[in-house]
Amino acid sequence: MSVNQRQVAMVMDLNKCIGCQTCTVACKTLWTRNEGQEHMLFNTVNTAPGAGTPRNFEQMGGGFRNGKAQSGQLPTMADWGEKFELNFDEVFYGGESDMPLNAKTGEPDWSANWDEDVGAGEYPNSYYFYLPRICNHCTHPACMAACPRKAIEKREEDGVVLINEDRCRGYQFCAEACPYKKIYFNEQKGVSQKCIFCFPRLDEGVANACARQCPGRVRFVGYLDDEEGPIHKLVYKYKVALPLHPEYETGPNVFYVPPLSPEMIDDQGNPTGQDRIPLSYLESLFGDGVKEALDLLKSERAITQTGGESELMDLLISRKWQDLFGPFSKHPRDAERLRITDAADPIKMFDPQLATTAVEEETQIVRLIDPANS
Amino acid sequence: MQVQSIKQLDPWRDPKADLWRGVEVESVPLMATPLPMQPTEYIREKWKEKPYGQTPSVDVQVVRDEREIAFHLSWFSGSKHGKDAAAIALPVKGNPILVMMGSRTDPIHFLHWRNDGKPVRSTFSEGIGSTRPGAEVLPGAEAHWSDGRWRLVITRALGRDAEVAPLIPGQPTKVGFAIWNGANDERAGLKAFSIDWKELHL
Repeated sequence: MSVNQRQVAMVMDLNKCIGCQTCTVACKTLWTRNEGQEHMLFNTVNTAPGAGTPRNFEQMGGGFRNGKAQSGQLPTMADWGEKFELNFDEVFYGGESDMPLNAKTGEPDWSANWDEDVGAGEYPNSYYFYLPRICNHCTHPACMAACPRKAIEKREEDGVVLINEDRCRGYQFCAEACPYKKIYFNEQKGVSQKCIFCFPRLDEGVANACARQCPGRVRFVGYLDDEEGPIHKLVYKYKVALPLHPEYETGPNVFYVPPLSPEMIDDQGNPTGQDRIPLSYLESLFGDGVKEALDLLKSERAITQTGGESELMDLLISRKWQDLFGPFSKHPRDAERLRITDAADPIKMFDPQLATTAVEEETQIVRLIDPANS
Repeated sequence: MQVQSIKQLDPWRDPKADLWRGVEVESVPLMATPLPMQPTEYIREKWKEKPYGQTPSVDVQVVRDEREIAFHLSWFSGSKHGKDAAAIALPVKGNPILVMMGSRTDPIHFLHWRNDGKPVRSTFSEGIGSTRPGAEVLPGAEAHWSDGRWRLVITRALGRDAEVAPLIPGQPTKVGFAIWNGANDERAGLKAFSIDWKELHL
């Protein structure tokens, strides 16, 4: 099905994610600020175990089984969580320091990160970790296969999966079929929208906003076939980066280094030698390769703890920040094409309202540069 | 299907107008689009055991003045849903197959109404999945729902153009219909449609 020449990919090291949502904010600010996009978060970070975003997405079907398309469920707005405003002004500037942070209107009972830090397990062996998610830009995208309009394309040059809004009619078969439930609906425009892997940035040699903004150096970006790059080494050489829910058979191109656990402790407070995060849970997320990956991480870590050298640990530590981004290490400020406007681009990478303002040139720059100008 | 000639179309835009009572009604039987013709495996799989396109028929009346034509469609929908929709199909040229949504050489021009408050869409189709925005034909629609039925008037300018189905007084053509039941989540090819063209005598 896929005919792309190369495949761009992302590896997220879950051992470094602190759940700060800086990636989420970077993405939101860059791509989904417009009317109709209020509920959209192309990037989400949820606490695992948890219901995720949208709520219980792992029970909503889609993807393939033995190569056959599987029926999926369309998440409702309640599953995503309606946008609501918090009473920041009163709490922080109203002179009432005891006032709790609350929704200004209504009584929301769900949102994108509602079950933050809930996790699972019993004290003192409770556990959780953070699971950031974007569109997986799959090798066999269920969304693309489901669309009756052929409105979803996989870019030949890098395998980024994009929705062509000129062809999309808002039928949302894609959103049902995506087993990761990473496709949103823009009621205002009547089209489906999703993570675009920051392709206008990639085209300029700039890494994704979520990756560059990450204070934890969690995200690697690069080509899967670049044997010298960290992505290839983590995915193929060391096999410590694993796809989320490979059983959906879509071939995700976002990979995760599974989280190591602290040891469980017994009634006396003594370590038991058992991992606190159950292996079976991690395997339910990342498949059969988890044990091998964790064992290798532990053994390589032990090597470095005794003064030895480990390429794997060096890769994961990423002492040099830009090593995370392979060929996409350019600063947005230095990107060559910042001033180019291509209004005829059929893929609406820029907001048309903004694009028709008098400061079109400036608008383009804003859309390419990280919110915090990093 | 005989188009009744009238003097002035404006009062006929209201689907509740008493004027429509005096116009011949033709009940057009509908059937579900065949499952094997749904364009993707996903849709076929999802809907293989779920009925769709169950609207049995649509009652049609047609009038025209010198400049415009008005189709009055009435069908039972049970409940009122935002995604309820209806379409009128007209052949642009040649002898298109309705269920195939036309072809490159024999395209079809559609007027598509949906219960979302947005204007009627004019679309041009050269086959399943190929639909794109069509020519501007001054389409309009007014819809009214009561007692489980939609009453809908869709209007269009008479005339012809390269990608506009010809509607010329004195020249017979054909017409087809499709109904989507929004409450059943019907959209795209999941619909009830008139099995074949109806002759339309202007």
